[in-house]
Amino acid sequence: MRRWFERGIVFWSWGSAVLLLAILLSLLSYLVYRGGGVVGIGLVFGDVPPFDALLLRRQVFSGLFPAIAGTFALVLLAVGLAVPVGLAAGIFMAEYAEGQIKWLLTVLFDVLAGLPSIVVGLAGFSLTLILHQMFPGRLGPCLLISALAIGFLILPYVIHSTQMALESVPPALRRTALALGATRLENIRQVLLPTRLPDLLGGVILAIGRAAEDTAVIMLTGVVASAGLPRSLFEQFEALPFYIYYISSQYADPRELQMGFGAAILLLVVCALLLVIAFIIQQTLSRRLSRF
Amino acid sequence: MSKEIKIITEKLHFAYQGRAVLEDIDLTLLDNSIIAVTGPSGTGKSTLLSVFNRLWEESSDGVFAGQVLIRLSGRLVDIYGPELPVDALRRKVGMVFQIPNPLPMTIFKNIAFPLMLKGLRTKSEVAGMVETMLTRVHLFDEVKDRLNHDARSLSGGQQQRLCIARALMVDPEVLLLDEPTSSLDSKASEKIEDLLVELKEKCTLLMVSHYQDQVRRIADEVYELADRQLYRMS
Amino acid sequence: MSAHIFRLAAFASGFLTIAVFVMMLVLGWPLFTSGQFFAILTGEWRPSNELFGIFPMLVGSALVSVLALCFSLPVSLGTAFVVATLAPRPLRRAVQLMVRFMAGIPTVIYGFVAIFLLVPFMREQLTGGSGLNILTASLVLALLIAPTMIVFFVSGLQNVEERYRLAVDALGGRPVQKLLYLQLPQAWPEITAGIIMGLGRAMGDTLISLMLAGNSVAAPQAAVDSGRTLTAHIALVIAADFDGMQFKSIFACGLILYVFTAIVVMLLRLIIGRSMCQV
Repeated sequence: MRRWFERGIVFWSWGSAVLLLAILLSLLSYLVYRGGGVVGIGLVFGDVPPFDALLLRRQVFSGLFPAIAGTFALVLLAVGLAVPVGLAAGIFMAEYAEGQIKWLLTVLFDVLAGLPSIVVGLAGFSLTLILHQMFPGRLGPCLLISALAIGFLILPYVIHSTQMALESVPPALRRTALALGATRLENIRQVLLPTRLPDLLGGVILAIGRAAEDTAVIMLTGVVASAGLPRSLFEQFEALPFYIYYISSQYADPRELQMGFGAAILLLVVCALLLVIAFIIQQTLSRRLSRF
Repeated sequence: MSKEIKIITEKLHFAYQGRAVLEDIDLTLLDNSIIAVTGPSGTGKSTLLSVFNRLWEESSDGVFAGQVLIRLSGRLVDIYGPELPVDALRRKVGMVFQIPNPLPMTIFKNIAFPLMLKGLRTKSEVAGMVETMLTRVHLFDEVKDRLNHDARSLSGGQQQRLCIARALMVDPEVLLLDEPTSSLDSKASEKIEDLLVELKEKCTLLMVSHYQDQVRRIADEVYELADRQLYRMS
Repeated sequence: MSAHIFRLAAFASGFLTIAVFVMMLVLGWPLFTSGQFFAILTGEWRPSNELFGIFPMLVGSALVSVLALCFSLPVSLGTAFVVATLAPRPLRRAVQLMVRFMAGIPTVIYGFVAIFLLVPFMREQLTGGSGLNILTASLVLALLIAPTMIVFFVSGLQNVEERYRLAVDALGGRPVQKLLYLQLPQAWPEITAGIIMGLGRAMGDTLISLMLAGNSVAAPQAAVDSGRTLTAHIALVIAADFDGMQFKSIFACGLILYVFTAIVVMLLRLIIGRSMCQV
């Protein structure tokens, strides 16, 4: 009886893993089957010579270049906003915060990390409403608001990886520089952060991945289906994940649909690459640590 | 009564992470005896033990070569051969660890655990067998009122006797002991030593120990492991 | 000096988290003052009749997430068993990488592929209609939350001390026995946490339900009905309208989701004392 139960568990477990693998493989191969044909320079730049497009000499209408540029600008801005704040807040959490303050902030950052991205988007949208009332006619949903909201979305992950990185420095190493007369700040800057840089970097790269893939936030804060290249912080913009979402219901012809599949492949490759980079950085870290 | 051969190794090699730990070891273990292996720490004594129940396969990427034969029902069987599944082997070759490792459950369930793994007995039979085994390791009187307490609440010496009882539950023919008394005080050690001498009647005991006096008191044969080789001591 | 900057950054981040709640409360305030809040929670959504209840979306969200959890739990648990114990060592790593990769796939891609692969199948073989319904959405959501749950389950199962595992190995326990009789009983807190986390993820997701659940505003009666979730409702109303009670109702959705998240966070702290950021 028990033996049969055990065998059943083994069978079911392997079945589950194989099922997931099969779904994953069919998802990937379906993407390649439908969109593989369009992946290439033309997918990004349409019929415009890439050099002209990159130098902004000619506009790209039939390629993904504006969407890619929009996502790139968005991620750059969001990460640029979130990393300094997150780093500082993470240092505070690891090195200075104590007692109830630390507990309260930890809970708040956990709530922030768990908030559905649509709620963060709604907050960004509400911000535009408030700004709109304060400065009528000046500000609507735009790249800046999206970047603020996305930055806010990834902030807790940056804080958390900074805090974890610092807190995992061995006590002996932590005391070395202090014993030599270094101040707390010098110790953080010269010893603690450098030894844990790969950890930090891994966290930031994963945050980039989140920023690049999120659709719900930007949907509420300024992304549109066609806006051309992002020109200013205060204008609407295009983004890769939103393009994919938009195409899924609004495609006009098979060619556009195929581009949607191409865009999905592109976004997947970008996210996979970020994942691989973060993974490699973490591996080198663990190898370095195992040498101690 | 002359003693029969229980285990033979031939040209046994073991490397761990590309570093040779054991080289060219030929060893014969006789039935109903206590064989002790001594030697400086870090020389691979525990590794040597884990070769006999294939436990090294669970944790390290070691490389094993050579042959290990065990006599089961009068016939020599290859420990690493297809004839003997690893779970069957480990029931024949039990093991007791340096630090007592009762499982995170009650005293009773710890002892009954090997029976559950075999999936054989009914409840009433199990209760009887648990009592018998606890009596055999002289633990029953100490714990009979608290069989349902967590096993980790016992003292170190009691825990180790519990672990021995647990290993004996499925009638092993060989018992591997990895410094079984090194984490215990002298009084608890003495009890374990007496127990091991009693157990000799039923099986072969291969014990790693670095206490010279302990080895002298109870072992029938003594080997020293040094420089990846085994040397027989008088 | 620098310490002040660090403190400021941390306090500002914490303050902003609270500010999100307050902002939604303020913007949705007319709902509370007109005493309509509970009417909105329990009423139906018929804007033409001035009825702005979000009860159908509450039901939609609950139905989609619970169904997703039911589909995902057995598969996630089984896969976690394979990763934690059942597979030979090198294979474990491979399955684990697969899970990490799945976690990294953008949500919109799951939804996009499902529209062209799963929806036609549902329409023609199973549910009929448009193929856009709660069942379709929950199947894809199940896939989306599986990696999160697997990571929690595996860490719980592997958390068992090495010496206990060796004890079972040395007694001749097979991997599945070690799993069932040693690791699983020890891993309950993490497994509960993984389930709560998976439910939280499912409730919080917007895109899958928006793309696949059909978005009908009637309260769904069955899994094959079209339905709308709280999250999708926010996205859809904002796209349509920015004023009036209809618009105010999305702040009720936002507040519900916020409170739900806070509950999830508190439960996780209570059960395993760990942070949400680790997956």
